[in-house]
Amino acid sequence: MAFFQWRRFNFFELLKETDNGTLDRSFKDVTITCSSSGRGHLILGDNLGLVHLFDRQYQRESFKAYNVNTSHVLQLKQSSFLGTVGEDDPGINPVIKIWNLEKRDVHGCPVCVHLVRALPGNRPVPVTAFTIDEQMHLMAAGFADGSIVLYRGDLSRERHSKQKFLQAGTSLISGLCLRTTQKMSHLYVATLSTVVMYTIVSKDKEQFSQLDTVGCSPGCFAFADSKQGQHFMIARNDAVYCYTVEGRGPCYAFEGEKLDLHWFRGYLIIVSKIAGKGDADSDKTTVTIFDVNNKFIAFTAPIAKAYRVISEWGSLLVLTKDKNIHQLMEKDLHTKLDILFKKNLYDVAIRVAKSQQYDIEGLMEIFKLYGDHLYAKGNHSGAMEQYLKTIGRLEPSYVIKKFLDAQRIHQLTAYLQELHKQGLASEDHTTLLLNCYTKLRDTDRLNQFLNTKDQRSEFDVETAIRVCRQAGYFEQALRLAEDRGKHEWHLKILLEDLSDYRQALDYIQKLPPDLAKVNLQEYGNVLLEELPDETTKLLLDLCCSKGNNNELCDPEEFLLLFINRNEKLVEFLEKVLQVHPNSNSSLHFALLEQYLLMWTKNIANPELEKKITLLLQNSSVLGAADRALFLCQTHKFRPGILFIFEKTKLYGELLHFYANEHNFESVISTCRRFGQQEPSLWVRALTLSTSNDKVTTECLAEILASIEKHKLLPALRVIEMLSRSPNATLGLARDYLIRTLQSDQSNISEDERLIQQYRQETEAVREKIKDIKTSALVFQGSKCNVCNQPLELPSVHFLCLHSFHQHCFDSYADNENECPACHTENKRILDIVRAQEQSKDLHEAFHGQLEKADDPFTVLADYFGRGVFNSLPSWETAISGHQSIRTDLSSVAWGPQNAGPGFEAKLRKSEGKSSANLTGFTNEGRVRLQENASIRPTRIDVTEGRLRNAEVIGAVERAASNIAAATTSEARHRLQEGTNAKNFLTTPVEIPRQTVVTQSATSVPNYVGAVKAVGASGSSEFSTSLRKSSHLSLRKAYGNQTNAEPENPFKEDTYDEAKNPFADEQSSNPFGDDEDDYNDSLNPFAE
Amino acid sequence: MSYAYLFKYIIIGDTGVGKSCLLLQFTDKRFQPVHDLTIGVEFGARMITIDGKQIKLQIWDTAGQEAFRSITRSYYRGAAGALLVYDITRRDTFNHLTTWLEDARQHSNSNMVIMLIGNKSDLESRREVKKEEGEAFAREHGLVFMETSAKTAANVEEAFINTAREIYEKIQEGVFDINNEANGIKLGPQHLPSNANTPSGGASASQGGSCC
Ligand SMILES: Nc1nc2c(ncn2[C@@H]2O[C@H](COP(=O)(O)OP(=O)(O)OP(=O)(O)O)[C@@H](O)[C@H]2O)c(=O)[nH]1
Ligand SMILES: [Mg+2]
Repeated sequence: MAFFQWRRFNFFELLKETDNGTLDRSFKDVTITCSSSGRGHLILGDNLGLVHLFDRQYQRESFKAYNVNTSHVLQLKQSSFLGTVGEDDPGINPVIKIWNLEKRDVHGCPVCVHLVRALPGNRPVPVTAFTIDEQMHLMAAGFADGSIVLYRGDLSRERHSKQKFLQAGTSLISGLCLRTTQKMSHLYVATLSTVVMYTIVSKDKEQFSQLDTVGCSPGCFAFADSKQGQHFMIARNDAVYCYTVEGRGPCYAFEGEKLDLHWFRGYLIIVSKIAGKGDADSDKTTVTIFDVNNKFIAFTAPIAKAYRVISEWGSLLVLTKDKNIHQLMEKDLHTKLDILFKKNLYDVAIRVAKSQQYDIEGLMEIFKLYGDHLYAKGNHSGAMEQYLKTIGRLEPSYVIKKFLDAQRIHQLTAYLQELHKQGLASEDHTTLLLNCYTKLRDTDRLNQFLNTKDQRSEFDVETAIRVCRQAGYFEQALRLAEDRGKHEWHLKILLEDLSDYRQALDYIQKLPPDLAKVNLQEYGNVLLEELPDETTKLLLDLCCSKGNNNELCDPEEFLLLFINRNEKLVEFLEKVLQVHPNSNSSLHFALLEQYLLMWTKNIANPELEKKITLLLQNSSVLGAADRALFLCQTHKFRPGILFIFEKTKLYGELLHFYANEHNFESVISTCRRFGQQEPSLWVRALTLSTSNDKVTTECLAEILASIEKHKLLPALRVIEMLSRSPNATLGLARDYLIRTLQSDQSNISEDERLIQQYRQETEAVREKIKDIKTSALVFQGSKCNVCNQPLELPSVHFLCLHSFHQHCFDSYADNENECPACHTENKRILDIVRAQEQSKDLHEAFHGQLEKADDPFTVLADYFGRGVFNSLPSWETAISGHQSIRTDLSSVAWGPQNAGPGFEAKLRKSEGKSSANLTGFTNEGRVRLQENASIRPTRIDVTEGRLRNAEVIGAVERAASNIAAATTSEARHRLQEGTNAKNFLTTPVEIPRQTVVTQSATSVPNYVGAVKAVGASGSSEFSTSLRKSSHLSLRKAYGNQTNAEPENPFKEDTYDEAKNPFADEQSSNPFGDDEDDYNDSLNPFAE
Repeated sequence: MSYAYLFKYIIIGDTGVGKSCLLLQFTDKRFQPVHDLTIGVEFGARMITIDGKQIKLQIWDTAGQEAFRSITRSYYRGAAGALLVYDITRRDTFNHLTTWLEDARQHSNSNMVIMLIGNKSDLESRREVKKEEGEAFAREHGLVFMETSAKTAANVEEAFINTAREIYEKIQEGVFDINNEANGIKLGPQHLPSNANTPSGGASASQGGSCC
């Protein structure tokens, strides 16, 4: 037969007699008249007026609905209400009842909530169709005479409802169906001969419309609610016809006498008689299940005596005339798909999967299988169609590989295109796609692809450009680069592929300066090569454009570009520096270098020289003069060298430069010009001229004159230097020597005179002390030094010539042995001496400091001042050594221009003697005090020591000042405080034995050398020898020391006058000046 | 969706000529390579615009098999347009055209617009019926002719729309009685009242109608 031409599958499983005979037992002698289902129950009515509810386990619950007979049951799906039609009295009009299955009366029966007679006119007619709207506001009953009664009202609550009589025709009503869609209800009516519809718009208004002129037999209708729309279906012998609100819909041809029609989840189930010829009895029936949307038959099988299909419990129940229930279970989706895959019916599988809301992954898998299947069959484009649908889930390489292997470029292109469209393409995909385009020479598509502005189909631009370039699609690559702002690529293509330098330059010009800069750095070289003028101009614009106030580029970054293009570089730099004269010095230097290069090639170019000199004058060039000098020197640019020497005050170098040129006129003139600022230039000039045989005697004479005038060098040294000179004559030096020796001679005699004088003075002091010690002293003080009142007995007198009232003394004196006026000062000094003791033995610290010091001499002097060379015995032990203490004071003072040299010698000498140079003063004072303690009655004696002490302190302080002045002001400061004065304090204590005239030292500030104490014969010898030697030797000694070589400070070397800190101006020694500096009046004990 | 007119179409022709495919291409813009036999009548609809007017096309795609002829025949009536389809790769489908045409003329109203369509124009290599033959047949029987491909969608839109235009023109000419639904033409919902309410007239007529 032609009818089964839809594909047929077996998607349902038939389970026979699932009720295990329950139905047969329950309805032994009764007839099942009607059936319904819903809310977990199968509901059957019988000819005794009973209604039976079966649950899934076929547990039965029955209640009496009518006295005579139940003809219709209808279970609502959305509520627990059950509608029934039946007869309570035979021969009288049927009654419609609505039951609430959830409400039970006392007997456990459902409550009847609505009861109404089904009476179309004035005579009883059997009800043939019955329907209730799910919302329970409408209900309709159809009768055998073609009339319909429509009931309106709230059927679930009100006991009565409004009735409306409708006449659909004259033939029996075989089916009714009520559907409500937003405020509008439709009543579909099928009669034996027509299909009509009432549109129920408002309370009592119905619009009639005829849908068809052919009808169906009772029960052969269904209502389909699917994605394809709502259809009222009726079954006739030739086909199943569908109707919509608008009229006729599709129809499905299916021949045979239909017994029942049912709609279940998109399936149309038809129970029909097998059209057997002759014995067309009702026993041979078949059940067919159509999948209307997917156009196949999901199940078909002959099931004997079937007459009704209802759906419940997730499956289909087939009721048979012999009171059996067969169940049709739908197979699960996977089983169904497997069946379809086995038959290679992938397209059907896809449709089925889609209609059952299969998940995306599953669908993709089917697409892939389908694709694979088609591919295997050689249907590449069909396969690609399927593969395209897998994009996003299936690994693209799987598909790409298949089509690459098969050289199916067109399909491959389609696939890659889709990948891009969905934004899933990788760089490789882009490359491949573009390769496909270029291989196919499909310029249109290529352009289209490249020009697409679709955000989703974004691709890797660089890859695209690369592929285009490789394939020779420069134009496309260029456009792409420009559109996407890939400036480097754009330029690369222009320069490397198209060699269109001018356009490249124009392009750069249009870029914002920062990008232009980067790109110029990259490609400037090539551009300068090809278009030197334009490129230079562009660079200049970038570095110093006037118009826009964009940030200007740093010209320095472009310098590299000009390698081997010197003229352009000069042009560039000149312009840049013209606009920005204060640019970075490196620019200046670059220009300088270029100039110098040019100069070496073209020496006699005054213009160029002028330019260079001008450039050299620039502050940023002078700021790094050494560099400029280096440049000038490497290029032997004399004017520049001279200029720089002069500018940077390197006059010495200037002299050397001239001397090397044997240009002594210039040497002399330089000395003349700058000698005022730097007198040592003359000395240097002398050194230079003595080592050069081209020098003229006039020059030498002038040098010598200047040296003499400014006393720049000691005579001995001058002689020494001259002796080295090849062309210096004795005659030249003679006058000079005579003059010098004369002045030396006079100095020496002056010194000797002074020594004599000091010796005498010392003698006088010694006498005085002796006097004090031995002869009586008259105290003539008339006033008390405390209260300033005339002295009265009892009074106290001290050798320091202070006198006090006894009571004044008592109230002021801490100690009766000490003069309260002198006490504070004495105590202070004693405290200082004591404090000194603590830090004297820190040898390591001393060595450390000495090694690290810039000027070890200062350190030495400092420690010398602290008395580091003295071994300071305790007060007590000193007593014993008192008599043997022999101090050889080396009290030094020297004048400014020749200070220092002697000091080191002294230092060493006193170091050698330091062991013997013990503290005298305090010890002695102590001794005296102790002595005096025993002769207490004569107070005068007791304080004798104090007097001397005080006196000596004054002297020592002054001596200390002088020494300090020769070292550093720091040392001096400390010395003045007395903190480090031990060494000097010790000395005057020895006055009784060996007099040292310290005080007088201050009065000979300009004296060279040392004032020697001459008490001891050994030391006098020394001093004599010292005196005999000229101060030149002293100077030499000093020079050794200043050589700043800690390991051997006395190593022989040339003496550098300039480095002598003591050779400075006179004024710089505040203590070397004169004695005015020391204020006598501040010393209360200085007489 | 509101429309000015509703036109009913019918597609007829031998089985396998691509009637269902044409419909699918027109309504869903897709092509179905597998032959799903139509058993009975299928149904599709789409909105088009002609002369600035929205027109709804209701299309019945009928089964081409001889066995279903009795069922499909009942759909001829009430169609304003018909697409008579043959397959250019199968001469027999072209040869059957006369039978189809007779059937259509017999069961439909006489004003029905019939468009002759030679389908599968994409299969040029397997062509059995020349385009000229189709043109000649159409000329002879007063039909409009077109070759289409449901696969590539070539001329598919045009086939349906040109038919609609033809019908529309006939309406303008007054050939169709638009108030007789049996002609396969229906006025859209908002156009109906303007006829019913002619006495009230005026500007309010078109909007006032729908309230009752
Ligand atoms: N190449 C090509 N194949 C087509 C075209 N139109 C339809 N087909 C194929 O032809 C076969 C039949 O198409 P259908 O549209 O189902 O045929 P039909 O006319 O509806 O057939 P019935 O429903 O039996 O009347 C299918 O396999 C389609 O894939 C076309 O334009 N070109
Ligand atoms: Mg078909």
